[in-house]
Amino acid sequence: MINKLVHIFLTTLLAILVSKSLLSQDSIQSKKSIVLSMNAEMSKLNFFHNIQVNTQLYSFLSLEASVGVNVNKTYFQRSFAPQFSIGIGYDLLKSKNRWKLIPMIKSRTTMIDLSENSRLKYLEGSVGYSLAYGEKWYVTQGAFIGRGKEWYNTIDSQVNYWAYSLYLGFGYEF
Amino acid sequence: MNFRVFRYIVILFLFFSCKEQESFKEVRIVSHAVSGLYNPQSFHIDNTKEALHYVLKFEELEGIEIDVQHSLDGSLWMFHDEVLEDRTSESGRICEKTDVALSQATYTDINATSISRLSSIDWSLNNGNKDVYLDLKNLNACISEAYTPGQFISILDEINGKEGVNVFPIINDTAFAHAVHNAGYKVFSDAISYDEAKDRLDLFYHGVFIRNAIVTSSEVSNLQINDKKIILFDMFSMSGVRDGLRKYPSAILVEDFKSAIIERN
Repeated sequence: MINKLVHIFLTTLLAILVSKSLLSQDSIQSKKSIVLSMNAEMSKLNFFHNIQVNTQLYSFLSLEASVGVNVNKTYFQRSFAPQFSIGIGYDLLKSKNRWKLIPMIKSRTTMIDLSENSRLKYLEGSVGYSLAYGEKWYVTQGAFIGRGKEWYNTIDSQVNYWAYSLYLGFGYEF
Repeated sequence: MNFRVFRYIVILFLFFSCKEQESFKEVRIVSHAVSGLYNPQSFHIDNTKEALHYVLKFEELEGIEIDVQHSLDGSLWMFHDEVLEDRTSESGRICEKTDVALSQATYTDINATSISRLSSIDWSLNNGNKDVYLDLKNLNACISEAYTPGQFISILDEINGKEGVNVFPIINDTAFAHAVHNAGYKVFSDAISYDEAKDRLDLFYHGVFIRNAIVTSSEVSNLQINDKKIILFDMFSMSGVRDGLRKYPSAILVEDFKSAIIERN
C-alpha cells in the first residue's frame, strides 16, 4: 500500500516537473525563490537534524527536499544514520504576506546500522503542513503524520507503524 | 592570534579523537518488557505477542525479559501492571480473571491490541540464541490463588530449549523459587540493594537484577564471583546505558534495544 502511494507521489512529482519545463516559456510566473533552512525534528524514529531546501513551482506549488542525520546515532553513538525526504505542497497563502502555510505530502527514508552486517531501513509517507514566517529570514515549523515501514536486511521481515514528525527551524531566502 | 586559536582547536581534537575505545562485547543486551516499557520508538505495546514476534527476529539481541502473570485458570499471560484498568478495557487483576475473559481484553491503543497469552507465542520465529527471562509477577496478589511451582515448571519445560531459547525464571518468592531451582532451572531474583543482592546470591539464586544507580563497578565485580550473574536495569538514556556497560555486568536490561546494541558494539 505504502509502496503504491510512494509510486503515485513520485509519478505525480515527475509529471509536474516535466509539464513545468514544457510550459515554462508560455506561462507567466512569479519571482522564483529558494529557501535554505536548517531544522531540528522530532519523529517516531528519533531526533533528526536536517538541512532543507524549499522552492516554488509556478506561484503556488511548493517543493521541499531535505537531508539530515539521526542526532543520537550520528553525533552521540558514532553510527552514521542519514535521512532523506522529499515533499510537495500547495501554498495556501500564495506568499502574499510574510506567512507561508503549505499543506504537504511527504516521503522520507532513513536507515540505521545495527551491526556491520545488519541494516534497518525505513520508508515513510505522510501528510501535514509546513509553516514559515519572515521575509528574507524565515522561522519554519511543520508537523506530519502518516504510515511507515521498517525493513531488516538480514531476514525477511517488515513491520508497519504510525509515523509522525514535528520540526522547528530557521532559513534564508535566496 | 588566529594561529593560536587554530592550534588550540587541533590539540583539543587530537585529545578527544585519541580516546581509547572500550569494548563491551561480553555484556549481553536484554530487552525490558519485550520491546521496552518506556520506549517511544517501539512499534508495539510492551509484553505482547506482536512485540515478542518482532524482537525474536533480531539475531543481535541476546535476551528478552517478559513479565508474566497467571490467570484464574493457571495460564500465563504477558502483562506488566498489577491491575488491568490503567491500560486495558478490563479491570481487576490478571489472577482474578479466567482465560476467556482475558482473551477478550484489549489495550487502549489505536490498534486495540489484545493481551497476549504466553502459549500463543511462535518461538520458531527466533533468530539466533536468546536468553528469555520470565518475570513471574504478582504471585500472591489474589486470595483465591492456587498457583503451584509445578504448573510454572511445566510451562518452562514447554519453552526451554525451543529454537535456541534458554529460559530463566525471575522469582522473588524464595520458597516458590527454590522449588523451581530444584527442577533444574537457574533462577534470578530482583534485589533492591547490594546487601540484598549478596544475600540472594548466597542462597541458590543464579543471578540478580539490580538498579544501575545503586551499585558501583567494584560491587558488580564482587557479586559476579562464582559465576553468578548480575543484570543492571533502570537505564533510560544512552548515557545511562554507557554507565551500565562500563560496570561490565553480565547483561543490561534496556528500553531501546537497537540503540543499546549500537552502543555496545
